[in-house]
Amino acid sequence: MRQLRLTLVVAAADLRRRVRNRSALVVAFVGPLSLGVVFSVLLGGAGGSTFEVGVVDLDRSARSTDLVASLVAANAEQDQVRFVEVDDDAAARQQINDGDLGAAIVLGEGFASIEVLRDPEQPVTGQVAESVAQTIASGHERVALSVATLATLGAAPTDEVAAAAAEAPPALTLDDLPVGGRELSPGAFYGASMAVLFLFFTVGFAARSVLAERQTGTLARQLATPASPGAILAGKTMSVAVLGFAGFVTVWLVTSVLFGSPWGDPVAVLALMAATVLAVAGVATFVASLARTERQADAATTVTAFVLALLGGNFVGPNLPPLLRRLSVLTPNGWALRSFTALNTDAAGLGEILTALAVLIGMGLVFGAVGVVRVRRVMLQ
Amino acid sequence: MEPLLACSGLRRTFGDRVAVEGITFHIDPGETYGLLGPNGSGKTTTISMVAGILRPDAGEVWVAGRPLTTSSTDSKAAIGLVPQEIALYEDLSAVENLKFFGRLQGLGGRPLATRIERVLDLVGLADRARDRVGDYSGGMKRRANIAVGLLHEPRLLILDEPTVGVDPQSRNQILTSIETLGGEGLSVLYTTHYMEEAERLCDRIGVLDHGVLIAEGTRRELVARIGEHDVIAVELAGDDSEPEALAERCRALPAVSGVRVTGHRVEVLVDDADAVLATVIGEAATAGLPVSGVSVTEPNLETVFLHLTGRALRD
Repeated sequence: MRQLRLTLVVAAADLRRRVRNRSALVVAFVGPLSLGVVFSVLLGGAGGSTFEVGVVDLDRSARSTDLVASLVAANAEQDQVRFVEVDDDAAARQQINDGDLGAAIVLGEGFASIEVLRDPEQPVTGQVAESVAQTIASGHERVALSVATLATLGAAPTDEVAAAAAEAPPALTLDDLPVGGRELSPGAFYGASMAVLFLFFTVGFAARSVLAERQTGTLARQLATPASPGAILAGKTMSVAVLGFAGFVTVWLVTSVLFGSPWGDPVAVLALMAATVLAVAGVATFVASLARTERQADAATTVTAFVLALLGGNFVGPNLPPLLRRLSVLTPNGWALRSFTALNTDAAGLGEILTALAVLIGMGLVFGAVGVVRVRRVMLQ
Repeated sequence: MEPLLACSGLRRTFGDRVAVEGITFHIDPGETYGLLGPNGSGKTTTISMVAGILRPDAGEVWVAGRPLTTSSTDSKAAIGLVPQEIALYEDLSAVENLKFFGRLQGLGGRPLATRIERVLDLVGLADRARDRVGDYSGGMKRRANIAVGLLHEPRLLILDEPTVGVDPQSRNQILTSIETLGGEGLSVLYTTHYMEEAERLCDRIGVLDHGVLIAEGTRRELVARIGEHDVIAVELAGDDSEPEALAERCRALPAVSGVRVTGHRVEVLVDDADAVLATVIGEAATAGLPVSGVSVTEPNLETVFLHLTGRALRD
């Protein structure tokens, strides 16, 4: 009980010092918020912006005409994706080059092919178009499969069946998009992404401050009091965890309220934030514990933060290339961002992210335990 | 009387380097004990183990009758540490620093506020209490550093070279404060490489060299151990003075170990100048020799250290 009280004394004092330190506030609040907004605008359009997708109908059948009409009609029901009918693929390419469209879906003659034209500078729009194209193809295959099944059974499709297949309504509704029931909010994704990145610098400060205070003598003075080394380290970690969590919540609230980028179920979001803070605290403590000086710890933390951010997809977006997708599961960033994306786009709840929570908490506890043992040893050297 | 601090056989290595080896000493209640030695002699390592910050490889530390380790929370409460560095948060005020370290000692509320006022008065910082420590002069920082060590009214105050780099005025204020505390019954462990500070403050002194306690005792005991003497120098007036006459009289005194004559100056070697000074002057008067000046030179710890190690203290 006494050590718990002393932990809180250390945490309160450290938190007071962090709050007074402008650079700490920049790292915890201003950095992730501003970069989250910048990334949203640069890589996906800020929250609330529209993905412009062209649709080219080279088939010109009744079915394809209905499909295009249903897509354009969907514009009235939502404002995240806007479908624009374009005369031919050359015109679509021109409009993409001109920046008028982010991507285009080309329905080939006889529905023999569905091609997606992309603007490399608008990857998220390209992902949306690809998802729509896959859904169209899937619907088309279902109809073809029905006919093929009848043929396999020896029952040649009757004229009625063929007519029904031809007249079948397009399989596509926007609810079917693999990207999610709600469109991915760039503000939410990049807000979370930058918040996770900056957590390494905010939360990693605890172990680094032990090395710094060893130099200044304040650590020795604390160790000469009844506070145990564990209580001192726990207090320091608690203060930066509170600061990091507050920064995370701030990014969430600002992007949600000001930019209209909801992150999903609040309870699940808060639980995921807490688990992410724990995971990053563990990894950052472990990394700092490998260093002998504050400078070394700073350098190691920075390198680790950016390497994990690159591997975890912080800078890439939600749809990772296959190799990166496999590597991202090795990082807390990957688990956190995948779960934030699921909460944001799939309307997932706490139940759907339990595995991610367990992995993040596990990472935090394992790396943190090793880091604490090492830092404690440094404290008493 | 049970010693307040007892250390026996303390040993600590850092890699292949032996920092301290077999350190054994004790401090009685109310005693001021000095650890004297050059930089790198093992003073800071020793007090780090005494304060429970550093785990010894071998040996024991007992404080107020209890064993002390790095996890002995109760024994640590009896100790006030003033590290060599300015171990304060420069972005906090003196009061905020004192509140933080006071709370770590289990203090709070009105008692803490009262003690903060008291220690700030003691070190002369009451009027700058709410200024950021980063805005203090070097001497003020040193005094604030000491105030934190005194805050919880420890039974043993450990000061690690507390006057390094301070101006003469602050230095004198610090030394006076420590003398006052010693006079009030506080036990003090004081490390320094300034021999004049050790001579002024310490009841007993341990001489450290290369991590080994090579001698221990009062200043007089240490001086006696190396065979050095106090010197009473008597300067006779007038060209026709007879220094040899005075020298002859002094040689006959039982407390005198030797006499040297240089011109009109007679140097009398004794063990305790204070005890013999009046007798020597009386001999000059009896012989009718006018005295123009008298000086007393006591062998200092610098001499002791030089004798014990073959090196000057500041080498």
